[in-house]
Amino acid sequence: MKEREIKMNRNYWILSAVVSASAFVVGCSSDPAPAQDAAVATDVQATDAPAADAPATDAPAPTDVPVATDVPAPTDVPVATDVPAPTDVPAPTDVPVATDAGVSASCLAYCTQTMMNCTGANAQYADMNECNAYCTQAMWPAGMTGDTSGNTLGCRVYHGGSPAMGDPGTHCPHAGPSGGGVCGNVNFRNDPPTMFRRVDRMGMPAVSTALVGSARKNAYNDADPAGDMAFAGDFITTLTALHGALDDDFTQLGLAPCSMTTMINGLPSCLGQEYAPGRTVASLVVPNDVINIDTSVAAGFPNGRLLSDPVIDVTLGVLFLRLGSGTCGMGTCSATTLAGLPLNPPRNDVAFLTTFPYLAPAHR
Amino acid sequence: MNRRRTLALVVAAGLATAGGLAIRGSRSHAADHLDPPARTDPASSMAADRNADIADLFAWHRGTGTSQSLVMVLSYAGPVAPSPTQAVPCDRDVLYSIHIDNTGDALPEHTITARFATDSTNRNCFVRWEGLPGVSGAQIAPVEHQRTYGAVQTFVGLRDDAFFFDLQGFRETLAMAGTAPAGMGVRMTSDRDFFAGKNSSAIVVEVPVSAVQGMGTTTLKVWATTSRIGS
Repeated sequence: MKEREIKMNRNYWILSAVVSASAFVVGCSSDPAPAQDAAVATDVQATDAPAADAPATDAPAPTDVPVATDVPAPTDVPVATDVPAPTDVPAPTDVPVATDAGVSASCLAYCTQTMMNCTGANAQYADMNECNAYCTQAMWPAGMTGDTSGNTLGCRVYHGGSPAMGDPGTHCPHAGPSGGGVCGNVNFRNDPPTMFRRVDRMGMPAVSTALVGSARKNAYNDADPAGDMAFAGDFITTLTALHGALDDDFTQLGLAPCSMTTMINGLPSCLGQEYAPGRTVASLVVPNDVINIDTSVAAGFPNGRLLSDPVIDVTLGVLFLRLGSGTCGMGTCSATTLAGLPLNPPRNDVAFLTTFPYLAPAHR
Repeated sequence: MNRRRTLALVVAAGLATAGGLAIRGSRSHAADHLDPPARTDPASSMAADRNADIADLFAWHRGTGTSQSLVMVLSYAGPVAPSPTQAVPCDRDVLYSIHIDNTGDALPEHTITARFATDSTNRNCFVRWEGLPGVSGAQIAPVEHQRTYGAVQTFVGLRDDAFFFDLQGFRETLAMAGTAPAGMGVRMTSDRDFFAGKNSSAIVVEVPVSAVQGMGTTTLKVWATTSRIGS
């Protein structure tokens, strides 16, 4: 990455900026560590919840376990699953650990059974391939044949067998990736949202990052859109300073700037001017910094934001140019004047997908 | 072509100065990547909260009639240069929220939340959804796997960072702002994309518009927040 950036940089004297940018990228590319401090008092993990699927019998044959003994596990609150496996179950012989070298026989058997018994609303995987891939990379402990609980392949094979045939709504989640709180427990926090402290918020791209000064950035991110009128003054102050520094340059070079001293619609003209009939520039972020969408009108920034929209050029255009009446180059200034140049890259480096999830796959 | 280039230079110069004025001491500027710097930019804070740093928010409607849907993309923890073992952060202490208002008061009628955690292997990462419109209760799914609940589609995974912007040129122009003659300090170009080849983690949700739209109105407001468990 560093080499590539340097290659693209046509101004080597500014190399230090490039190096620091690259250092940043490298520095933040390695923070996968999941926080595991479970010491918060409210972090209820339901360890005293009654164990669903308590071992019904000590019979080793999973297909003989009566379905009726299984209590449905709640789907929204993971249940602790550290129920000891029956100690008198024979040692595992037919459920080897899945390996990451191809698909193991045990994963194939598990997936064949799960795909057959868990279908429709109870499906755990989109298809056999997804199941095989997931089983392979999950590397669950083999467990015991007939395990009724615990994060093992054996438990999933048990629940995905005759129990799932008899009551798929209950048992298919147990056979699935998370184990449904029975064959494995995912250590989610159950704290209500009020127990979390705001870090970041976002509505419109770039606007608040550019127009809210550093002294008020944390306050802005702590606030909610309903209170954004409190920051209108910040926008005006910053934008006024920008125009004071730039308007003569714009004028000299044939781009008509909008004015922060004259008024339109009761606002400084740059904010009161309309980027579309009846829609002021100010309305893009005031009173609320949100993405506004009218589903009765075609999608495209600033009516919603598509992945492909050149939002920076459009945003700069509406904040700096005299829309609709000013002369920009050979034409009249508009919201798309800068995007038409374009000033910044006009599109993403890789193609977006036309279907869900739309974003291009990760670079590897 | 000359004229177009001249226009680009002029406006780029303006942006550079604008950035210098607006940012004051912060190195970075993007859609929301690394902002607020004091909390989420490693260059500004040793304790930068990368996992809770919103990179970008996209929201758009597609389709027509009863098949019209609303797509929401919340990207975070990026941009990062690729590495072979890179994966979405599985941080159980962060709450990711997408809010939808359908009455115009900027108070949410719907809030979709995503939480993350691992199972007992400490390796397999899962997302727990709550508040999916039209879907009752919570739903748990492995990351990097698309899941459909009724008419709602969900996905969390490491993806290409969808933003495109010459951040490098912007930073270079910042470094020159006020020291070079007008036009000489401009470094932004349309053929250089700082976000090219970089990844971010992304939460993607697609819901029927009918599941989120208010009675007698076609307007929606969408925003996103991240929060970390209190201490």
